Amino acid sequence: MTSFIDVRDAEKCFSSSEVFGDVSFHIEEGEIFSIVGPSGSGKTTLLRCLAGLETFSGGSVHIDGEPVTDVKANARPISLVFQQPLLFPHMTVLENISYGLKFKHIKKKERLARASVFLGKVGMEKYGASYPHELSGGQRQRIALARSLVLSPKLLLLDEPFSSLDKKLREEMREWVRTLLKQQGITAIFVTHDQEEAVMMGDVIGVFKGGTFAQIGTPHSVYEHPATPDVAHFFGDNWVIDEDRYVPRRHLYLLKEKRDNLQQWPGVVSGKRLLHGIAFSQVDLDGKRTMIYDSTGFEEGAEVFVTMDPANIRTFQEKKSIG
Amino acid sequence: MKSSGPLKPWLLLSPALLFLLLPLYGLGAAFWNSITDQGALSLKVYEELFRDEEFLSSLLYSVWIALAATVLSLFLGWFLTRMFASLLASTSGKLAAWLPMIFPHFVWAYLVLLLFREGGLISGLIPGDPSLAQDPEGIGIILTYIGKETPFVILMLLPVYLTRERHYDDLVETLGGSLFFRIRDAEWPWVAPVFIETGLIIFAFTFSAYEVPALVGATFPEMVSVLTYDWFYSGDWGERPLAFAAMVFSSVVISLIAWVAFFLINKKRRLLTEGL
Repeated sequence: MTSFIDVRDAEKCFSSSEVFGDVSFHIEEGEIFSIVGPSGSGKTTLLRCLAGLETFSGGSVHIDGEPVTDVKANARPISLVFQQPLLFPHMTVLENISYGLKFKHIKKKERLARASVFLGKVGMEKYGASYPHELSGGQRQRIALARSLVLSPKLLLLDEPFSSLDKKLREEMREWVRTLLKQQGITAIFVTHDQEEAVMMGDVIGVFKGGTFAQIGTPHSVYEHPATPDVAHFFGDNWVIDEDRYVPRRHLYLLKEKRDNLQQWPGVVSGKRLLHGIAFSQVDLDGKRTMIYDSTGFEEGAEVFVTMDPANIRTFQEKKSIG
Repeated sequence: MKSSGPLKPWLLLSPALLFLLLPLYGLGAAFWNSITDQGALSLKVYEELFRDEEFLSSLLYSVWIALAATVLSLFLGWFLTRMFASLLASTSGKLAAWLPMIFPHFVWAYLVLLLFREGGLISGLIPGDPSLAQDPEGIGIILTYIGKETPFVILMLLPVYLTRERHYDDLVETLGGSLFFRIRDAEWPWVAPVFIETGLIIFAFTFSAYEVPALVGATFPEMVSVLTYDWFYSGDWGERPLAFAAMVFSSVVISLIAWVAFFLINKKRRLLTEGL
């Protein structure tokens, strides 16, 4: 049986250079797939291709068993929420939400009624007659989301929708949007460059690097078992020993003096941090800076050795997809 | 002397206001002359003006020419800006578009005369060698204005196109809208205020300017501006009040149109510039 969303061997080239290639993944109905990767890795282009705003150079996309690869953007059962809310400034909030229903040949009265329902779902009942400039950044993004959801798309694409919001609001919105999408049973792809956001939003996450997926899996499996040094680096909570081995950072500890029977690296404490009441030392190690749990309480400038229990050393298993 | 308080803005504006005194005096004097008859207040001149068939046909002719020139320049300018916005933004693009603006209107009018009159370079290529300048339909006048005003439209619209948020196009498309709706909802709301304002400026100018219709217009029918000039400078001083009345009438009508348009677009413009 095929999945609800099925993308196979997708690729995109601009003239001679490849933006992404060998991209395959599938999503089940009602599932949220987070795509996380550094800026410029091609994830926004992938989203634009899925939305139909750009064409794929190769590969296929099926939604609910139907091929959509050659369907125009305005006829795809896909809706896109952009980085900016992009509300029409000359329309009221209600007119903005109901905008896309016009193309489904629904009468105005019915359009506004449906828009009102979604205005309630995003918790902004009182703002129907307001204009976008009267709303805050978070409220605008909620309206943008309602405008997409009211169309009942089979697939909702979200392109870093919280990137223009401040940190606190971003955290609130993540939780709120995930709850709403789950309540509505929406199948969604969520693109971000923030690993914490990807883990929080996605049922499945895909680490996108250099124009392809380095790993796809549940947040827990990707976090605990990175498939490549790149993924381990990107998630930042691992210390990569070499091309084959890594150790989760929580298993690293600091020594004052070298011991013979352990693998260890000399480093210098360059700073101190307290996180949730626990002391960490910022250690400069092989030219890289890393945060390590510090039970001893080393002073800044102290020369230390970083080590771990050999039992905690893991090897990369090049398994690209388990999703 | 240090100035402050409510007087300051007036002091700063005084050079401009002094400069405006001259045309304002002209307009006031024309108005006064048009509403007096042998020293007493009277609307006799206006009654005479609106009974004058030469004036009425001239008025219709002027409206037709000004409207045709305005609409054609606006749409041609809009089309060119839409198609070539990025090209026009380059130095050579700007130069190509704005070069015609350097020439005065009468130079452009002579060019049209040379190219489009009977036996002209372009008319000669058309079967039947029609005269498209100094013609009764006013095609020569319209062609001159299109040549001169289209670059002006581009100059006005280009900043809108260079600064507009293109993601709105993608938004309309992903919400299900066709090209028509992309233009209507993602483009036109931003273009409209400038488009309408530019149209008003061109209409007001083409309706009332003298030199182009005087050079490439036919002897009959005449545009209001030419007719007014003839009345003003004819040997018969009795026709001067008619010239004043025609001038005042044109000014009032144009001001009214401008005021109504300004009122209509102002709210939308405020919403668009309120910022998002």
